[in-house]
Amino acid sequence: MKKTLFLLFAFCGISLLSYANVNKRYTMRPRTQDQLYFLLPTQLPSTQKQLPLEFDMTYLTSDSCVTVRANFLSSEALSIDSVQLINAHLQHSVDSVVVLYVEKEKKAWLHRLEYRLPFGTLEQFYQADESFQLLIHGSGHTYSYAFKPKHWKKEHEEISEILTIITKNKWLK
Amino acid sequence: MKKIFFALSLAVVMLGLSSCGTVGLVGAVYTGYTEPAAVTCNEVGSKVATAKTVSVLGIVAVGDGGINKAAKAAGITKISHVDVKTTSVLGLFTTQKYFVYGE
Repeated sequence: MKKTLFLLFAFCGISLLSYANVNKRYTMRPRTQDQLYFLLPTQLPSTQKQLPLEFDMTYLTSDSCVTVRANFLSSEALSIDSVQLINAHLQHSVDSVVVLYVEKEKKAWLHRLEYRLPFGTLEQFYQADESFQLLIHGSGHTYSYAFKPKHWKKEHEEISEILTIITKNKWLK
Repeated sequence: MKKIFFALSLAVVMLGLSSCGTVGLVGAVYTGYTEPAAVTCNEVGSKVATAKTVSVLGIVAVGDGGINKAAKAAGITKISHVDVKTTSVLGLFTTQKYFVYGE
């Protein structure tokens, strides 16, 4: 009996592992003039013992920028000033951050932000060996998020592969 | 004999529960597919958002899979279509993720 259950769970595990590829991390829809890529939501852990930030990315191949939409929680409702991405070699600041909405969620405030990043800059951040740090500045506070080193390798490999797929298919109709 | 009876009972319970967690195609061991949920006359927009619901053991089901919530998350006001991706393991852990496309 134990063997049967073990085999059943092992089979499930193997079928799930074999499915673990980048295709499940994005969707693509052809449009009249271009293609729409959507990278599914990912959690970015806080470096300040806060809850993680969750972000997704949308890219139209006719555009030079990627639209990033992110959720994060804070103890107070903030006026967002800017978003900054940094790593050991690169730094990119975004001043035009759109707040889609701010809602009260239990005791915290949920902020939904939208900002744009040049496709090339995003590629550079994901090609780096160490995780970028995402800083959100607002109302005199700074919230900091970054991938943990053990998760970064997988994240960097998978997103880089997706960005390569996008680049190689960019001009196809 | 007892063992066979137990194994069969377990299989029946699992299949029974699987119908609680998923609607549509059901794989007894693993389910993973995407299907259309809604289509409008609008052209495929430039925005996408997701909403998710989760069911555990067919006993607890939580989440907000509402199109309204997803549309709000991306600032979508004109919906072009909605896809739903269902994944389920043994019918015990099921997630339904809605992809709302629009402008």
